[in-house]
Amino acid sequence: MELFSTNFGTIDWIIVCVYICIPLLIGLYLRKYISSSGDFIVAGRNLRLFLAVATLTGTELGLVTIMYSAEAGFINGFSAFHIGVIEGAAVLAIGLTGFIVYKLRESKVMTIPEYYEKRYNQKVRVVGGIVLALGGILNMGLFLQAGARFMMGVTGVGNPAMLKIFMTIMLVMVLIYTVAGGMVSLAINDFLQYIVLSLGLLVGSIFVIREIGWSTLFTIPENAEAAFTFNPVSEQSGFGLLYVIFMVMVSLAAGALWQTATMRALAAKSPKVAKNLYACASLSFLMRKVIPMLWGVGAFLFLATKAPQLLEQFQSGGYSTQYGMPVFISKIIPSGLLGFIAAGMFAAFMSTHDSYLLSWSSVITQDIISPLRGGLADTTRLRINRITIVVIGLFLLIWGLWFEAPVSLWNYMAVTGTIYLSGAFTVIVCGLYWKKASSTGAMIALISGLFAIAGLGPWTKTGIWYLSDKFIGVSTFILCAAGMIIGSLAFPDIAVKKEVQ
Amino acid sequence: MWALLWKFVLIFTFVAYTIMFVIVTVGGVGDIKHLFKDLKSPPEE
Repeated sequence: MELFSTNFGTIDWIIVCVYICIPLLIGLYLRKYISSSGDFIVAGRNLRLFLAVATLTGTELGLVTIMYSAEAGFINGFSAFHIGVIEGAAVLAIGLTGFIVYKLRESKVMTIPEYYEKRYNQKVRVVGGIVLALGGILNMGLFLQAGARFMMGVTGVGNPAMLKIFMTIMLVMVLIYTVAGGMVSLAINDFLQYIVLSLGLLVGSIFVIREIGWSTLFTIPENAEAAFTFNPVSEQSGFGLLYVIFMVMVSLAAGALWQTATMRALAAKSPKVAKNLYACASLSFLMRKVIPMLWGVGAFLFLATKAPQLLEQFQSGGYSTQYGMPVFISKIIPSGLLGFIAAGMFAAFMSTHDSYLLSWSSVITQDIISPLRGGLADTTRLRINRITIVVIGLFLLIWGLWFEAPVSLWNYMAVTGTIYLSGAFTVIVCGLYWKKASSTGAMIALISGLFAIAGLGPWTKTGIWYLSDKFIGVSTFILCAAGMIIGSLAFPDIAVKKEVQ
Repeated sequence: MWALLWKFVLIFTFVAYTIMFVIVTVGGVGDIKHLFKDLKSPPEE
């Protein structure tokens, strides 16, 4: 069996091309509805519940999500499901209690660093903005690469040189309509993409289960060895107890404070809608991991039973494990439907990219450039937003072409996310619920988050437990919390001092 | 036990998400209408 043989044909190319034009036209049409940076970033705060749920799902269910989840299923089997379950449960808990999001929406801020200034001071906002932008942009550094690998795997283009061309074309498409439409265009496009993507995933799963067989799916093939197991707490699964703890921390922090998701809460019609949005979207958070992981498990079983020689090439590092799922579905899903699913995945790529670009450009404009320049006119702000989007896009292209993560795609996402999340979670939770939280404590916590970068180094591969990415991740969260508490108690803000006295 | 748990998670995800998909799709169409009503209309040229 050839790795890159595919059912993808001319009709599928036509479906994908036609579908790509739709968001571009919508982005250009909706441009006239954007008259202020508020309209551009949070759609004038007019998103109602169902549209907010659809757009949140559209944003958070990106092609990169599907790729890293499928890769986790491919490498770790069903034990990877724990990541989805923990994430869904964390988001549900936030939705039911309103933890963080209710109060944040009440504060009427547009970005998280804006809250830093309201609660602490402008320096915290600028530092928080820099850490957020750094972590966030690094986090999306491999989106383009993963997206291009998916399209290559599905379309059967195996030439490695084509990766650059795929990445460039996909980036240009995203930039055009993000720069044009802002959040209004995102909301409408994300809704369309939510429909296409959800249908694609549900229907595609039927093909996966039909191909492998429901009972076979839950059996361990002979050549799977210990790596393919069901128990995530077992070290043999590739995870272990410490990893599960790391996932609980990341999921809770990311659920409440990942800027792209929080933007939906901040764009919600009211604090109550923001809270309900999380409760409803918890299912999307569960689904966005579990279904692609199922596809990854299916890809592993398919290769293990039908092409063990190809599986050996994956296991020996001959091919990136990211190709496992796309080459699998390109072989089992018939032409026509494959084009529809590829279009849905491409839509996922677009909807995630546009939101992330918008988020990070907003943070750079609103929270770094504007405070440093003593404020900006609305038109200047909008122009800088758009320029920043293009600059970030170019960085992504260069980073995606030259950087290969030493860890799996999901672990790369978790570690880069921790750079920002560990500090932000502590700073915001303490800011909202602890009167003594001070700006010095906040600065220490935010800067401590940078320790997570150590989780990307080559030493994470040595097998020494205290150098592993999961240990570094958990330690970073603890370090930030300790820094916040000690810093706040040792250096209280003057206003708090007076209040205490 | 773990296999049974993941089996349940998979079935739950399929059923619950399918129901949610239908509800959100129908409700979302109504929300889009409201969004355009709420945003100020573009100026006449």
